[in-house]
Amino acid sequence: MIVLKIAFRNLLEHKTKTAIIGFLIAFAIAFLVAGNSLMDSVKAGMRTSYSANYTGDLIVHGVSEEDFSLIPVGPATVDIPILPAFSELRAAAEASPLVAAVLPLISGSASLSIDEETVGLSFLWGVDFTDYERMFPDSLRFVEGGFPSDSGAFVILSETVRDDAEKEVGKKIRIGDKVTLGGFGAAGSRLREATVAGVFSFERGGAQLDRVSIVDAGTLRSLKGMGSVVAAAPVAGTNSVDGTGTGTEIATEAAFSEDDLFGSGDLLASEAKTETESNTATTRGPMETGASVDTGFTSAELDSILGDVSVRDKYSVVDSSAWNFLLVRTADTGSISAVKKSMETEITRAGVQAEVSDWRWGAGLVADLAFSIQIVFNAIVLIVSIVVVIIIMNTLVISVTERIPEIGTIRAIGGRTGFVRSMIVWETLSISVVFGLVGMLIGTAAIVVSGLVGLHAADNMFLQLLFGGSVLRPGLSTGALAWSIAATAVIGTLSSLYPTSVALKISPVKAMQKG
Amino acid sequence: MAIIRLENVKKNYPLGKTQVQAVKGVSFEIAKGDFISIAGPSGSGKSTILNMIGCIDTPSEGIVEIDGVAISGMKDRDITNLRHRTLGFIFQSFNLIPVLNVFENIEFPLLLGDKPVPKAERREWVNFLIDEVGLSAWAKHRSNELSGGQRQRVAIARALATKPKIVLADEPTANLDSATGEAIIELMKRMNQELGTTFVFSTHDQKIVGIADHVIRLKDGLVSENYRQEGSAKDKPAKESGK
Repeated sequence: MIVLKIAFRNLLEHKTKTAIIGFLIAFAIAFLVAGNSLMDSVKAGMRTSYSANYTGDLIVHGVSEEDFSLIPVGPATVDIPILPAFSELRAAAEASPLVAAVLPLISGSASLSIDEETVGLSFLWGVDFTDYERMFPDSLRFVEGGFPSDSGAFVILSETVRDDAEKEVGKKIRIGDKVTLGGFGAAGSRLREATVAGVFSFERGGAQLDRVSIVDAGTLRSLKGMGSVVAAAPVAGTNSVDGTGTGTEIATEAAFSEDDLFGSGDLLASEAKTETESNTATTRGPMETGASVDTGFTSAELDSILGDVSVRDKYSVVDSSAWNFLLVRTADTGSISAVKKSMETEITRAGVQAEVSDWRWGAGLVADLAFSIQIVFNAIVLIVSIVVVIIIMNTLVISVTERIPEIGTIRAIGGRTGFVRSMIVWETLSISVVFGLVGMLIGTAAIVVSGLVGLHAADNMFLQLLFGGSVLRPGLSTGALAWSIAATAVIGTLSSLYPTSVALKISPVKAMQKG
Repeated sequence: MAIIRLENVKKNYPLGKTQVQAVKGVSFEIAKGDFISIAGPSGSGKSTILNMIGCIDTPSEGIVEIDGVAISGMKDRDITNLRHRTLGFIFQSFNLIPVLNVFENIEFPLLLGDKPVPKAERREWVNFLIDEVGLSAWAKHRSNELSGGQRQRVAIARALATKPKIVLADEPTANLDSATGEAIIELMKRMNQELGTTFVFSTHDQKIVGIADHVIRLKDGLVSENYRQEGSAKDKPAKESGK
């Protein structure tokens, strides 16, 4: 085919121009292959890492106007909603043959105190340790100790949190030591003691996950005041324990007025009177001023009132079925959609406000960051591609301009516009294909070498977040290769459009121009 | 019957806000098989008239007929077909395709048409033309390996490849030394006689003009002379109608 012969020979004839255009195409395609493979590896790595170690494949959770996720990004200020109709949803998930395991989980944060000295802050996941081990068997690497074998208040500390605490307190924290966790919820601040059962780090951690410790669900539930608070300040239909407004009924603080709890002026008067008259009761503070006020209460009556801790006890009651999340691991990734659909159907049937989200939601800002970076990368690729197209286009236009007499001659001796168009398009496409392949090979080689050597995040928190760990071993993405083939075709086609239009405007009379 | 006919042909070119009239009303006819020189000084309109005869430029006014077909109003595709079928071109700067060798350059016009010529037939005809122009030893060489005279011989062979009725040559000897130029004109004349192809060439070289059978002289965009030369190979009446 003569048009191909001319196209190829022209490319070989103008080696410098061909080399410039070829280098640009190869660079753009190599950048595309390597970059997209890297981004796909980051996403695939994150997905595998998060779903296998932290989030499961699906997360069932309540609904809140505020953003929240499974993995906290800072001191928890958002009151994470309790998952309504938990028991029904868990039963439904466990009954599905497509579900391999489930894990109920509470998310929160607490201060960590040792010997009454606050030594740090830790994010906390409250779980049933047996369920956790079943759900994420390879998630944790224990430095010391392990999952507790007894029930009770136990915490397994993140190695980072433990190390920071030891530095702060100036002594070693050992297995079996007691630590005090301080939580603050809608019911006020709480202190709970827990025994250190182990010290761990996540197999594929990162700066954010390294501050997560794991505690028994009862302790975290108690720290957060889950259950009593809900009952104390119910909001129609959404935040009772089961979310339906018909769950466990617990006495509310509305049943007791401040006067009932702390007394009125009459109470104080009565107290003063009691002290002066019988000397059987001693009060502190203002009472010691000796003001003589008739409270109308006897010492026995005061004992009766102040000794009554029923209200406090009711505030301390926690609902053992209160959870923030239900993590679901499917039997295989192909079942995720089906399980999600069945869980959503279950939520609708239960008539509660809850949602089913994927690992990306659970990873919160970390996943958003990776996807945002991909968007930025794609924008860079687009800009690079446009620049490459413009440079190639200009080079080809110069080439066409230099060949005006030749093209004019072809037109004069009977070459149709279609022939000229084919000649330019073939030149551009052939150079695009050849150097596009070279670019693919370079990009593939870069990814293969990176995969063998591994990309190390070192101490860079940003890269650790992105890599989902300290090392990323990227693999070649078929999607990236497909994109690069498409990009080669698009670059080749777009680059040839303007030069072709210039060539087609060359009149045969140009052949008569004196050379 | 005239194979080329021009009737009151004018050609204007825009020059800034004004129009320059390069051809001011030219009429003549050229008979089939003639060996014609369009002569005149630079700026007399030789190339413009040759371009219009070659259907690569159109007249502003008047009629140009090639082989009985008026080119005005024809579509680009039809004009291209007409050029391919009826006309051959020889350019002052040779205008060979630089990436093709001698054989491929001569073969090239045969590959552009609607009806493909069988390969064996094509090869035989191209080799015949190469022999005719005396370049058998150079068939596989590219144009940058040839002298000016050799390049113009290739151009002559290429112009004859499609067996056109008319070959147009725009100052074919301008880039050649006089001896080579004469040899080229002699070759063209031989082809004219052997193949019966009409040759129309422009020149301002009086020596070259002397070889033509029929001379049309131009001056300032008008025909100043239109005559047959004594001793010409053919003796056909030339109609003179231009000024």
